[in-house]
Amino acid sequence: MDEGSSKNVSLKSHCKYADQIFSSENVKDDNEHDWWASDSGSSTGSYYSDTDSSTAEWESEINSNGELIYIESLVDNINDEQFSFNETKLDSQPELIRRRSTRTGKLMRLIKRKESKRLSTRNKKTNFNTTTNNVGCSGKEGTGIKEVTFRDFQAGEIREVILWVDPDRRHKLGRRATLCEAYFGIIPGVFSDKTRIMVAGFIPDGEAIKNKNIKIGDWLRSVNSNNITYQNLDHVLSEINVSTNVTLELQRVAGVDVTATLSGLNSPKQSALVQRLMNKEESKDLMQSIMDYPLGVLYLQTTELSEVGPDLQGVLYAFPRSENKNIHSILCTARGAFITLNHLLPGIGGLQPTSTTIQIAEEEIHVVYTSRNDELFLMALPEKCCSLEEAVNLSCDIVRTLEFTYESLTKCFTSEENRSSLDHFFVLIIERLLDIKSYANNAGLTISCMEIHNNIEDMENYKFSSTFSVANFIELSRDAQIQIDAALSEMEAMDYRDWNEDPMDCQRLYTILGSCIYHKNYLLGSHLTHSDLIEVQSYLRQNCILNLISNEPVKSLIIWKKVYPSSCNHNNTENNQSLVLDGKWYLLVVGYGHDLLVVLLESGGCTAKCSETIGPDIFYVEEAQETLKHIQKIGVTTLAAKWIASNTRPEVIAYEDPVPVKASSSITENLLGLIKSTDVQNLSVKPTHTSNSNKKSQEIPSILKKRNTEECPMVLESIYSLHTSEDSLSQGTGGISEISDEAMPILGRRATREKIVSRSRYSDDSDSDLDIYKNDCQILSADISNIRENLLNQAEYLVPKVLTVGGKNYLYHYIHLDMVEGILLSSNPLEHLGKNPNFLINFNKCVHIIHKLLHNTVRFKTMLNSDMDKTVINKSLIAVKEHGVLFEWENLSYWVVGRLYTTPHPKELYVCYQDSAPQNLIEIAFKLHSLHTLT
Amino acid sequence: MVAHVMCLTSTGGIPLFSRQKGEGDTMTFSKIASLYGIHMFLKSQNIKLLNTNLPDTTIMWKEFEQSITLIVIASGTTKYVLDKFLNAVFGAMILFVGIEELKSTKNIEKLKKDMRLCSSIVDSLLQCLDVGDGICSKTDIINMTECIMCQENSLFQTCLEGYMECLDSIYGCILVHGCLAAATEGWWNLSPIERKLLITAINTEDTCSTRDIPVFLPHKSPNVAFRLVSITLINQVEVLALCGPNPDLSEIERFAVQCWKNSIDALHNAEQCYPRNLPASINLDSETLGFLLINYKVQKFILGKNMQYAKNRVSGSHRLDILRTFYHQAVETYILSSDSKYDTTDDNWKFIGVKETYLCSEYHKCYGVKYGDHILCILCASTVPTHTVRLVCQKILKTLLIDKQGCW
Repeated sequence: MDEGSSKNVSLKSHCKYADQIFSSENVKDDNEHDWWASDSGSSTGSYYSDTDSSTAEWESEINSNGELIYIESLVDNINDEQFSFNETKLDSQPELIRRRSTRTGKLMRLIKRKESKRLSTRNKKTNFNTTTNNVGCSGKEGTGIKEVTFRDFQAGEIREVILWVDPDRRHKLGRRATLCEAYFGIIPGVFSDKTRIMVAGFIPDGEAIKNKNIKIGDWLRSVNSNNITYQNLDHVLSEINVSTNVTLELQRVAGVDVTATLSGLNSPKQSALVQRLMNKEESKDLMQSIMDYPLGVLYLQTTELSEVGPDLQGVLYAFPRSENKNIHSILCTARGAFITLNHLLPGIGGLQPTSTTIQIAEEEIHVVYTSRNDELFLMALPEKCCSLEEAVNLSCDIVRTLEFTYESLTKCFTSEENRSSLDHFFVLIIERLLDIKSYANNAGLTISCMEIHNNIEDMENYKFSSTFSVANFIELSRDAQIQIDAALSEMEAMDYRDWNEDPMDCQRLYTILGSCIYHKNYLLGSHLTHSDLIEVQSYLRQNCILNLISNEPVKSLIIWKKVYPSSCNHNNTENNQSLVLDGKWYLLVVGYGHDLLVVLLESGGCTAKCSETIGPDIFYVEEAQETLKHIQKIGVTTLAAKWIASNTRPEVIAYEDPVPVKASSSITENLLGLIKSTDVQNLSVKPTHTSNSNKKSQEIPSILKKRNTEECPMVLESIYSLHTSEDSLSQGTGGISEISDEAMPILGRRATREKIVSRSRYSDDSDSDLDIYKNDCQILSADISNIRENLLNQAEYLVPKVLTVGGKNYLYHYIHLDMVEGILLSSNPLEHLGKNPNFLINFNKCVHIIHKLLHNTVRFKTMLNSDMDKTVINKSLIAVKEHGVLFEWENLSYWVVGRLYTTPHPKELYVCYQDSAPQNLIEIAFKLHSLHTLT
Repeated sequence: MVAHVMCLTSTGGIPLFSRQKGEGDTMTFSKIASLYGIHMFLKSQNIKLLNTNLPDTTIMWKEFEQSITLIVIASGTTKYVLDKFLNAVFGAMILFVGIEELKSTKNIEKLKKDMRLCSSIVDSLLQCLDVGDGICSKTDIINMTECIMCQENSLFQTCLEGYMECLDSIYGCILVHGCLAAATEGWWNLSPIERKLLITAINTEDTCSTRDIPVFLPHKSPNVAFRLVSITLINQVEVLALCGPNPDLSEIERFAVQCWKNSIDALHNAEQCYPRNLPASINLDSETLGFLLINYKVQKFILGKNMQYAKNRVSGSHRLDILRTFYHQAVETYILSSDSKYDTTDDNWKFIGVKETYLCSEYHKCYGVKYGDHILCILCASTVPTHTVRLVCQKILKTLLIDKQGCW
């Protein structure tokens, strides 16, 4: 590292200082960020670098169009153990290690580029150490990580395979490689029982890959008659000292040969779900197997059709379709009817048809129309998987996604090369909507089909967000929002002159239009314009990316795609006023763990010209990765996870519970709960922290922040140990008195008020911190751990907010829809109502009905005066603003109420609450919106 | 605001009739033929074309007995209502010509001529459709019998039963302003469509004191005609009976006088109930502008407005129209789905245990409460708080159901 800093003489002095600080902690830090270091350390083939010793792992995956989809799973694999992102582990140990900032990170990268070779070898050394270290603790893993889901049957064919092993090859694959990899060319994995070894993959040119009897997914039972377990694998192998033949005993456990599904030998490790997302071949089989089933997609040309044309005249794209030219789907053969209707109805009703319902063999099918000039997009979905409204909106969302990715439907469907991607795309959608296997006649379908079609809640969630085209947004605390905004802004600004030696020489390749960040399927923050956000959201949802990220963590996810945002006017060809001439837009998605960062980039205008097919620039990818990593480091996503789990913002009650348990009726109750419980989720009110920091802030406001952060851990401690330790009581200044009942008044409005005051000061302070952040890297690195602690402390003390009026909390579920901004605020139905999916379905169905009625009002309000006379909207429904239904179900009565409020733009609020005190929906909406300001 | 209904023969696509409601372009033959053609084409592919949606407008196709295809185009209403409407239109066709004639048509021209008979009924059925224009003269619901609740109903019931005994029939009812006041058990056993059609047939005829119309009953007796005999007792009060070939009309008139002559005062009192449709003993709260009481099992309803309130306001049928819209759009959806009887497929989601529902608009509030088979919907001004409306609605429902005088 010394060489590193000495080479960097051209840097500004304070940067060098920071560098030294960093280098001192680099060693221990690398350990933690190995997953990243291995990427950045090796990814030296970047734009600014002149060395090309090695390339990023994903670079080989870039296709001929310069587009990239690279997903690497956190497979439960020995080699990956060291990288595994384990949230629970992070939570249990609050962050003590100092985190490096993005800025220092950038510096590091620059240095790394200068001496990449040295660094990469050093990295490998650290990696190797950690490999051995981590093998032992892997047994503890797994709570947060999805298992590899090869079917784990005991029974299966046992085979003996003889391989030639040469101990001299030991180090051929480098020091990171395990013995199993080096000797056999088998990448080992473990089954869910954590002991048995599974063949998880092959090393190219290894011994195993040449042998047809070894398949991925096999159980490696023994080597030379020594039974092999996960624990003794290395030991057994290390006893092989001379070149010899080794007998392996393997047992097939999965009934299916999964080897075939691996696309390439060099492919990154992928879980079954990821493989399903990536593997287009399987989709082809599935598509053919649902030929007979009346669903699908058609893209048709509606003009210039002659009476006697060929069989598939005018069909530009059909899904599903068969290899056999004589077999067509029902939709395809009946297409004439829909073309005629689409053509005829404007003459009768004055408007384009939206949908047609047909019945085939007792089953109702909805066919949805989307017409584009002379072409017609048809989508057929059965009633059993979605209602008419859902089908119409789903089709709309799919069209939006297609236009976002392919510019227009014409370009999308006429290009031959899109075929396989489209087939795959639609298979995934159909798979998510209904249990495809029951319709597929082909019994040989692989297990992974089941992966994607998961539980009913997920399906509801998918359908719901698709039909309303909204992103599930979480309003975190203001501090967290500021941190997210700051991080995203810094990345978007792309101000690199501090560390770039020749800023004048390099013209930027892209301008960043905006970015947004997701944790699981929750949107944490967005700098995108509304329409862009809606489109990005549709893209991620329909391509299963959000599904993936919320179901299992990824080691690394990189997507680079040329896109056509409607906000950039690409469709508006008639007036030729594209905002940016020759503009090209790219979507960059990077992911790690359960988090995604989405960046929308623009090429054109002031940026340098770049070739379309060159693929993502490594620098931008790293920049985004670094930003995401930074946001993770400061604890935002951990906070988000807790936030989601905490069910306090606002609090909802469980449906199973007729009598709400967690209703914060008494403060003493809460305090007792607080003291006794170590479970974060049960913590509710935290008065001491509030008033403490508040007092401090009044005394010495200038160093509020520092004191605050010092104070927090101690206060925390004092509360936990209140009834055991005298010392800690004295430390928590004023803690005793406030925990007693006397302190009750201060917990009321005053506390909240004071809290607001302290918050506002606090945020002022953090603003000034941002200045420091810019100038002084040293303080910054200290700040990051502070910020993290601060944020995570907030998660410990989430005060439940009650939206309803009355003595207790009566709220079961709420949904706030803002379709203009594409944002959905909602309680988490999956966890709190999970045991009763019918309840959720019932709610969602109601929401659809209510929405339909409320939507009439919105349409009428936005209508031009001249159109008002002509409209055929039912006159009794043009001013509906609230609709409610009372259900009585299993001795429990609850309301589902929807409310529309139209200023500044139409928003809808749906709540489900127990029938007790009458609720005012406007009040609930107000409370919901004032939540984060009162944090 | 236009609603069209078209009738064609399924085999040849020959148009039998086409009626329309409201101002607007008439359907040209080519359009009718195209709509029919699409249905036929899909039928050849073993696909049944059910309906097509435009924003706010629905087109529905339905084929009956593989011989008649009906097509309806209407806006602002629900599919459930349209389906009932088509059933009713086909019922009206059976009513006059019988099922045999429709199934195996030998002479199309004759059938066309016969169809002219039912065009007036089809027109009044079209009036029942809630197209949401707010200008219809009388608010009616397509598949339900409109009733009137008056104190004299139990007296009428006794008289009616005596009268029916004389006629040797079990199907009879008494109408006050076209609303049913009392009916025999046999009458209620008729299908809702038959009841609706028989009453509509009487109401659409010109004013004459006595009628004797041969009718086929779409469900009960599609092949053998009954006689539908109506005698006007006093102005706006008629007694209806379905009977066989005997006795002849003059004899029936004699029976009517004999049975009803003692109840003339009561009949006059009952006539005064209209359009309140409630006995004088029951008072609606002053907040209530109108009400709609429905028994959805028997399929009958009472629709009434609060006369007190109506006096000093611009009122009219528009208000009651709102209640009907509320019922179709908000109440029926939940009620129907909770009642498995009406389900077409098992896949449909059912709303279980719906008790109350309400709708607030800028100008008014509607509230519906379900109790057993009964649903009461009331209309209030938008200024009344929702929870007050709820209490008022529950109170009125209780009063109406407890009151035995009304014979509901």
